[in-house]
Formats: sequence, structure tokens, C-alpha cells
Amino acid sequence: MVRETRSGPRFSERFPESYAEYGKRKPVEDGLVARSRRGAIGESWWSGRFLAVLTQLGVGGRLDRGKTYARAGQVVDLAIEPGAITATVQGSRDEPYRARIALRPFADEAWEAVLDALAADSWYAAALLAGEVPDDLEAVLAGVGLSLFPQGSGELPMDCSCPDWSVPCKHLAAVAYLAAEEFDVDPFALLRWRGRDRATLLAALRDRRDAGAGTPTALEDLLDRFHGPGVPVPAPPERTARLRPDPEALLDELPPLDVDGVDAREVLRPLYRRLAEPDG
Amino acid sequence: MTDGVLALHALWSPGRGVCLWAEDPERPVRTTSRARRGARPHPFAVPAERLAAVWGTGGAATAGVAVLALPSDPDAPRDSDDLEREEPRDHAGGPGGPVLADWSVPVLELPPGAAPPVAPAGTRASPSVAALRAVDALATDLIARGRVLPAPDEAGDGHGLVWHPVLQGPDLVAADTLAAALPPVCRCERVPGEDPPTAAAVVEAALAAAVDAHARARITGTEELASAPDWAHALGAEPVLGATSPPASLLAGLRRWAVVGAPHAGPARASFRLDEVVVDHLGHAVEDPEPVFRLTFALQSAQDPSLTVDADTVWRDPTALRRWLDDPADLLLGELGRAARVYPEIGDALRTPRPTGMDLDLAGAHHFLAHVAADLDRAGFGVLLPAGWRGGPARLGLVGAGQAEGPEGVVTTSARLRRDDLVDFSWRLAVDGEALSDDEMDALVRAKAPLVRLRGRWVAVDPDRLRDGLAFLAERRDHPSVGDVLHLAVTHPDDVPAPLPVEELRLDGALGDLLAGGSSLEPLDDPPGVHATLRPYQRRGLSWLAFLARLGLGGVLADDMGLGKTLQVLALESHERGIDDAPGPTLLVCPTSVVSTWRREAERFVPDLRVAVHHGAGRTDPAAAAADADLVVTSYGTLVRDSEALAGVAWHRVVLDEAQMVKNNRSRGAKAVRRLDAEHRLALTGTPVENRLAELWSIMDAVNPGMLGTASAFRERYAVPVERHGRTDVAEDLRRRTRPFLLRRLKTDPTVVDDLPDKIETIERCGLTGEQASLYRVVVDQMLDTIDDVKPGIERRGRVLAAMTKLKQVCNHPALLLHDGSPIGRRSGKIARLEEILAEVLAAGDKALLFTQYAAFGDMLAPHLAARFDTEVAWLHGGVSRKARDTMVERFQSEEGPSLFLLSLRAGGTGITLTAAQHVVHLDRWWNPAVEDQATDRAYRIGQKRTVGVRKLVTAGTLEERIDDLVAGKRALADLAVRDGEDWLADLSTDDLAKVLSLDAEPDEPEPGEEDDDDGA
Repeated sequence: MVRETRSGPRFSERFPESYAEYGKRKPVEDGLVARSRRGAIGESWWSGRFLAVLTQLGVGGRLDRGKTYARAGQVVDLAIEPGAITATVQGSRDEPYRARIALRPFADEAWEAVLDALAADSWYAAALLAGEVPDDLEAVLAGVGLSLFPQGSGELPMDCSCPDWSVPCKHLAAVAYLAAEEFDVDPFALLRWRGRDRATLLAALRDRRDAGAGTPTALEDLLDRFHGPGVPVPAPPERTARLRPDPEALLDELPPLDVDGVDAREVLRPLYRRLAEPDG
Repeated sequence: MTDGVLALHALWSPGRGVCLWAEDPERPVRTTSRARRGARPHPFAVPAERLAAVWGTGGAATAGVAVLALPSDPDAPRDSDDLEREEPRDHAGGPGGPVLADWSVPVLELPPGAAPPVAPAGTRASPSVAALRAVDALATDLIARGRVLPAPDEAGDGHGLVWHPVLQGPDLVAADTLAAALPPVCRCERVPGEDPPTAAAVVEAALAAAVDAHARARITGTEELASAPDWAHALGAEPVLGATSPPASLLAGLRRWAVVGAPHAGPARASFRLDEVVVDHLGHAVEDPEPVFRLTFALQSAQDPSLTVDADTVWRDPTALRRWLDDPADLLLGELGRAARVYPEIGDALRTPRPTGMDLDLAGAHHFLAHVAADLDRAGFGVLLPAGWRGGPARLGLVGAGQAEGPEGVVTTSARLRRDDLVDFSWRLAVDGEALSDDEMDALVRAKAPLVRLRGRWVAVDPDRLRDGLAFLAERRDHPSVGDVLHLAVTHPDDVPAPLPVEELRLDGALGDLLAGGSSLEPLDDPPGVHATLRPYQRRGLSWLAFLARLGLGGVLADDMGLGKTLQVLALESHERGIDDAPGPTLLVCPTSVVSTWRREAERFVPDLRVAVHHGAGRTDPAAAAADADLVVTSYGTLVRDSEALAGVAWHRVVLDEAQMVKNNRSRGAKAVRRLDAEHRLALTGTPVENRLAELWSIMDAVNPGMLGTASAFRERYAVPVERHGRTDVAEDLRRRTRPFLLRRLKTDPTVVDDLPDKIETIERCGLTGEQASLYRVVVDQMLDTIDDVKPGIERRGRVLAAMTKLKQVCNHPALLLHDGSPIGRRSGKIARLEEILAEVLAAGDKALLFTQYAAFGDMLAPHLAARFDTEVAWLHGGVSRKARDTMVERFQSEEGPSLFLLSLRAGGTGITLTAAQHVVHLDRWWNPAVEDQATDRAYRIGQKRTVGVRKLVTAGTLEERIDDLVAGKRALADLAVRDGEDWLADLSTDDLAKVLSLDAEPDEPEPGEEDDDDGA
């Protein structure tokens, strides 16, 4: 089963180890195990699109092997960072391989344009926050001359430290497979790869939103209602003795607190009862 | 007016706490200061020396000066809203409107944590005062509820403790509301180098100061604090001498506690609120003929759904909510995105930077109400509908209304109504059970969306069902007959061929009466042929029977026993024969034991009625008997045997007496009943339901075949829900449907009870079994053969009396004569009848006294009845000690005591009170009525509040019956002719004796119906 990956004479030139040494993949404890046990990978349209791009780039046949790898938990760690997906994959050698799928992040100016467009239409943020890449997001990006997905192999350089010179190798395939799964669950991951992580993206959207609206809080902006209440001043709460809640309820929620051998809660308990006593 | 009204203000100074100041309308407006740099003195602020007097703070406050940034014209601050001048100032000063300018203002600094006092009379407080007082009120409330925590005093030297407010849930929202309400003037102090605090910061600081001050004041000087460890004294207002800083363990622990007390409102979710838009955003009433609805997006606390913040607020004040939600805007957007999967239309509303909701037209609102609301709710979102609205479509149904028409369109009275009369009847649509008017139906038809405003609320209806309903109404403009309508009234909705459930039938006039239970039918006069006076309730019963009969509808007369069902039926027969041209014969089917009773009662009450008995060995062809009779009496046994012949006769009516005999609809008796051909059917029973509801179905089906649907449908619709699940609503529905055809009056019924005498006496005739009959003949023959062998006198008399005793014992049970201890079995017609009577008594929950003169009979009867009815039977005879007797009586009188009390006439006939019993049965006759009356009086005496039913069992065709006739006929002479005991009989001649004693009856045949219906008891 390993035979097909060792093709050509160049193999022995680059890697003089014996076949036996090379042999089977080494088991990994606590590896990243693919969620899907069988069936298709990439349930959502966007991870489907990602995998379609990979297929166009000739990865198709290898994805299944990558899936087997991923399901066996050979991927030790995986990070989707702006510009690159990097992963550590345990192969047959002692030393795990470093695999990397790069993608050119959008330029900062491009991101500004994207964020402006997204902030003007809260549907995009709503969908992303609800775990979905809105199906018209590509159109928004196209509007500013960008594309969410890589357009050709030149935009998607991949490399792996394994001896297999075919690109992508099964390790990269496993990484791509796990990344697709990650995109399924977290659509923000796709955007992080393109250069903006979730927090930054949301904060940028928030700033734009807040800038465009909001109640002025500066005194200068409130001269027309300087003396009046913003909303009616609420009436003081009315409580009858019957409705008064237990004044010790909060104490009961607190963890014990030992002070010189006495629980501070028990010290405070009589004081709280006193606090609840009506005046006079 | 010399002094203008001062305007009083309060503000929060970050360094000094609450400060008070005031404006005076009498002071000159313009400043004399030319200073352009720094703050100029406020020209019309109340000066420091007057301020304490104006506010009434006495010496508690400290005078000071604060620099306030106020809306100003170039030369003067503007007046506050609450300052009134005699001559209003002209503010059309600069072209740019007011600007903020700094003014130095004399203020009163209140002690830490103190609230602005109530403005004294003659002054006017601005909202700034109310706002800061409201903050103080929240602080007081938090303290009283224990929503405070001690915390290290981070602002101080780090060694003290302070009380901190704990803002969670509603308290957090209350604090946010206070911040939103806070007038800007409350935070307008200018501190060099600092921005003015936000409203939220002011509320937070003021609340913290007030909580700390008030809490300290509350516990200072209390015993609780005095007995607390040293560190706790740092929470009071008075420093403790020699107090050291709090232990480090305490400070660390308090920081852990602060996490528990941190502000939070818990997780939140999106909620959707649907409202009808009645005013536009400018507050103008919307007069659009097409109603507009608004679906408002909001965030709602998952823990306390009353905490709801509209999306509008989320966008407008993004900082405020972030104190209790990590990121309210992102949370809201994510929730909206999630909701868009359930309700894709939301997606369109999100196509703005800050979505707050969406407008819906009528169709959209209907879609939301009928479908989306429930889906959103299931998906975990909050859905708020205005009061009176509810998710999902309203219940659509049909309501029928009608009244019978006379020939001239006059409402027909019950006396005239006939089955084939037409009914002016119409269907209406009903929404949630309420019938719609024509206008409302039109509105529904015309509505573009099936969402209509009905009686002040919006109702969504399922358009498909609405269309079906309207199509049904369009087809049904016919005039059904009375019979059709009544049939409809009892048909289960599922069986009505209508697309919508029939919710109600409203019938007026006589039909309505019938459906309501026939309570207001016109009572009929006593038929002249009836030799008795009907009691008022019996007259009502007769009217009801006659009404049903005219409509050809079967009925069940289920009056309590003793209320005279027999008489009412006989009166009906007499009534019909008085007004109609000779209706055909009526077949009356009853248990064998009462065949002769019926014949005799008919002869007694309606002598003109030609009665034939089709029963026993000598019976002839029933068709022949029917030809010359008005009433043919037969038994269930005979009915089964002669089923073929009886089914061949065209009966005017079939009456099923003791109709519980057909409660098992698979029994041969029930099958034979169904084969009978009759225009009208009646069932009589004292217990329409003994054990199971299915029995009611059987009886109703026997008199109105098919009316309650099939037996299995009935079981599914009624029997199982009522019996297994205790569904009272279903029971009520069944009662409503059967009410027109079932008349049941209880003796306790207030409409009956006044009509009842205190005591109702009946003679119950029973038959003899074959064994009893042959034994009876043997005894009579033996006696007559030998009686003339002895001379008249004591010996002859002794023989006669001995024979009579034997005969009476045979009538009770053969074993009494044979002394063989043989089992009771089904060997006595009298016991069979007794069991029928007692079954009714026990079913009604009543108690009965049973008197016999033969202790031996009681000895065998007591265990038999106890086993037969699985109940305790008390048995009082001569051998019972006085003490035991008293216990027995006491127990019987108590609620839990036995229901049946068997007494020997001698032991129990006098002296005791047994008013718990409502029934008295004399098992055998004591020829002196006085003795029986005395026994009867055990139950019927002072303390008895109900009518007592007295039954005397008489075996038909035997000496019992003949002597009963004699006694009854000579009742007036009883005192003369009937001496105590039975001695007078012995003096009769042999011929007379033969007449009195000889048997004149056929033995009963076993009842097939009874075999079938025996529950194995």
C-alpha cells in the first residue's frame, strides 16, 4: 500500500533509508481525527468549492488517501493562519512532516473595501455568525476585484517536508481534507486564511457600524435635551414584605471563604439579615 | 409675585459625589464678566449663601463651586427647561444655536452616598433630581435584597472594605435604564484634563457610593456588627480603634466573590415581536386601510425572558449592553442569521447596516402567525405576539342554527312538531368556537390573506380549510327535516359529512328544547284512560315520550326505580290510543319475573288497554295475539325463542323493560331485539350504565340503531377516553349528544323530590321456577287430600296453617321446604327478582332493609347475597344479642356500614331506627298490613329525609298473590276481617281453600338473556 508513493529512482537518491524504515505510518496519539467517518467530505457549499479547486489542481485522486490519513488521526496539529494552513503530519518516519498550503491574503486596502461592503449589509455578518458563508459573498468580493477561492495553482502553493515529490502528497491531501472540515464548522476560517481572523473582522465591522449610527453621548450633541431624561426616569421599585426575596440568597451562591478559621459567609449572614430590615 | 420659582438641579461630580445647585429667574441674565478664558460666573445661579436654605439641607452639605458646561448663548447660559420667567427669553441669538460653555456655579456637596433631597415646596425640581434619586432608590432596594457584596476598597489605601452593588438580571437592566434616562446635565461638571463621564459611568459610580453609604449606615451600631470579627468592622461607618488592615486571605477571597457578583444577564437569544402598526414613526395614527405589521428584532435573556432589548437599542448604544453581553451586536446578528434558516424572509430585512425589524403586510403577518411563529419557537427563539394573538391558525368549525317552521312560517310548538317537518336551518363558520356574522364571513371571503380582525383581535385561519368550509356553506342551503337535524345533533363530528368539525348546533323552539333535555316541553294532560293521577314529573315524562314518539325517535327512560316508569309508558299507550286511529300493537319485552306484574299494572292503570301475554307453555302465534291486543307482554327468553314469529309482526312500538338485559349487544336477546320491526322503540332502565359505557351504547343502539355510530367507533371516541383517561370533557360531550334521547330523573332531583310522596309502595310480582311449581302442587294436593280427614277445629286449622307455611317457604326457595341445605342456585323466582332489585339499589349507592319471617330463609340468603354482590350483608335475627344488635344498627346507620340489612320480622320489626335505608323489601308476606307497616317504619320514620321505596314480593299465581288481592281489596275492612296473623285463613271451607291455594301460573323459563349477560358474579 505504500508502493505507489515511492515511484522513480529519485527516491533512493533523496532518501537513502531502507524500505522497512520507510514503511508504515506511525500511529499518533491525540491526532486530529476527521469527524466524518465515511461518505463525502466538505458538507457545505464553500468547503465543497474549496475541494473542487483542489480537484482542478489535480489533487482529486489523492483526497481519498488523505481522508484515510486524516481519519487515522495522522495529522498532529493544524492551524489556519492568514496566508497559510500549516500542519504537522505524522508519516512513517519518526520525525513528523511539516505541510503547508499557502494562499495569498487580501491586501489591507482590499480588506477595507470588503469590510465596507460587508458592514453596509448585515446579512453577511449574520450568516457568518450563524455558521454559514453567505452564498452571495463571492459576488461582494468580485465587486472589489477579489475572489474567495484560489483561482489557479499559482495562487495555492503547497509544500510538505515528506520525501514524496508529487504535489500534493497524501499528507497535504490529509491537511486539505481536515481544513475543509474546519471550514464546514467555522466559515470564518476561510476568511482568516485570506487575512482577517474572526475577532479582527467583527471588530472592524463593529467600528463601521458604530461609526454610522448610535446615539451621541457627547454633551455637545445633546444640547437640545440637556436637562431632560433620555427615557422616562423609572419609578422606584415597589416591594412588599411578601415579595421580598431572601436577602441571604447571594451568600448561598458564594464559595466558602475562610478567614482566621471562620467562614466569612457566616460572619456576614447576620449582617445581611440586618440589611434587609426595613428602616426604622 | 415677587419671587420667581427656583429651578433645582442635581449632578454627579466624579470627585465630590452628588452636588446640588439652582437657578433663580429673578436674577439678571447677562454676565458682567468679560473673561473669555476660563469659566465665567453663572449669572442667575442661586448664590452659595442662599443655596442651603433653598434646598433645606441644613448643615449636612458643604458649600462649594463647580464648573459646569451648559448650553449657552454667547453672553449667557440658556435657561433650563424647568425655569419659568415672567418674560420668556429670546433665544434667537447666534446663528449657530447654543454651544457648550463653562460657568462656575455655586453648589452644595452632599455627604458621600447621599441622595438629593425632595425639592422643597415653592421650588421646582428638574429631572436631574429625579434621576439621581432613582439611582438612590435602586441602591436601597439592592441592599434590602442582599444584592451587595463586600469588596476591597481599591480606590482607597487598599486596606479598607467597601460594599459593592451586585447587578444581575433585572437589576442590570434597571441600571441600564437609569443610565439611558440620565439627563446630560447630571454629568456636565468640567474637570480639567478629563472627558465628562458617560451616563453609564455616572450611574455606576453613584450607585456604588449610595450602596456603600447606606449599607454601612444600616449595620453601624448593631449587635450583629458588634459581635462580628474585627475585619467585618471595616464594613461599618465607625472606625474601630486599633483595627488593622483586612487579612490577605480575605482580600483574595473577596476578589473570587466578585466574580460571582459580576454583572451579567445570562445568555441571550434573539426574539421576535409582532405588532400591528397603529402609529407611524412620527406618532401619527396610521389610516392605511391595509393594516401594517411590524416584526421587531430583539435580544432576550434566556434566563429571564422579561429582559428584552430591542435591536434598535443594541445599535444605538453599543457600549451599554456590552457590560452584560460579550458582544451584543454580533450575538444579535448571529441569531438573526440562524433565524433566517427558519424564516428566510428575514434575510431581506438584514440587507442594511443595522437591522431592527421588518414590516409585514397582511399576508406576511398571516404567514408569520400561522407557520413561522411556531417554527421559530421550536428553533429556540423567543416569539412575542400581542395579547389575544397566538401562534398557529385558529380553529375553524361550523355552527348550525335553525328552528322548525310551521306551515305559515310560524315557529312550531312541540305539540305539533313532526319528524318530516322542515327546519329553517343554516350553517355558519365559527372561529375558535364563535360563530361569525354575515359581515364577518364576508370580510373573511374578501380578505386577501386569511388573517382577519374578529372582535378586536387578529385571527389567522388556514386558507385551505377556509375554502373547504366556504364551499360547504355554498352547497348547503337546503331545508333539512326535523329528523335530519336531530340525527345531526347526535352524530359524532367525525361522522358528519362536512369538511370542518361541527362545533355547535343551535336550535330554537321545540327542537332546542329536545336537545336541551326536553325540560320545557308543554306538559300533556293525564290521558282519560289512565286510572291514576300522574305526578308532575311523570306528566313531563309522558310529554317527552309522546314527543319522541311523534318524531319516531327512540328514547331511554332511565328514571330511578320507584319513580313509575311503568305508569309513564302505560300512560303513553293510553294517550296515543286516545288521539290516534288505532296504532298497531306494542310489544313489551321484560324479564320473566315481571311479566305478570306488567299485565296486572296495565289492567289496573289502563283497564281499556287490551293486554295479551305471550309467554309460557300455552302461548300461541304472536301475530294472532297481536291482532287483538294493544299491548303484548313477553319475556326476553320468549323473544329469543320466538324471534322469527315476533319479527314478522309490524309493531307500533317495542318497549324494552329492564333494558340492561340487552347491554351486551352480542347477546341473543339483543340480536332478537334488533330483528323486531317497530315504528318506535323505548327502553326502560334504572341503570343505563352499570359497569361500562359500552352498555349505554348498546341500549341507545337498540332504540336508535346506528345513532351513536359503530360499537368500535364509540369505544374509541368515548369509552376509552372516559373510562381509561378520565376525560370529563368527553363525558360531557357524550352526555350532550345523548341528552335528547335519555330522560333520567333521580329521586333526589329537586324537580322530582317535591312531587314524591314520603313512601312509595309497590307490589313486586315474581314467578316460580319449575322446581318450585311442582313442589307447590305437591303440598297443595297433599293438604287438600287429607284436610277433610280431620274434624274442623284445632287440628284442621293446624294442618291448614302448616300447609300454608310450607307453600310460602316454597315460594321463597325450595330448600326451605326440603331442609336439605342444597345450594340456592337459580331455583327461586323470588330470589331472582330480589337480585334484580338489589342490583339497582346498590348501583344507586342506596341502602336497603330486607324483611323475612323465616329465620332459616335469612340464614341462607345472607351469605348468598353477600357473595352475589360482593358486599357485606348484616343479618339480624332472634339469636343476636342485644349488644350485637345495637352495634349492627349503628354500623348500618354510618356511611361506611353495610348497604344491605336482612332482618327477621320478629327480631327487627320494632324498636330500632334504620333511616340510612331508602328501600324496604318484604321478602314474604305477613298478612297483617299493620305488622308490615311497623317494619317498614324502621326506615320511614323521623330522620328520614328521602322518599322510602317499599316493595312487597309476591309470587304470582300462588296463595301469596291471592291473599294479597284479598287484603288489598278489603283494605278498608282490614281491621275487621283480617285478624292478627293468618288464623282467619284456616277457617275457610275446603273449596275456598282450594281456590286460594291452588297454583295458577306457569313456571318461569330460564332467561337466555340472563345467561348471556351474566358477568360471572
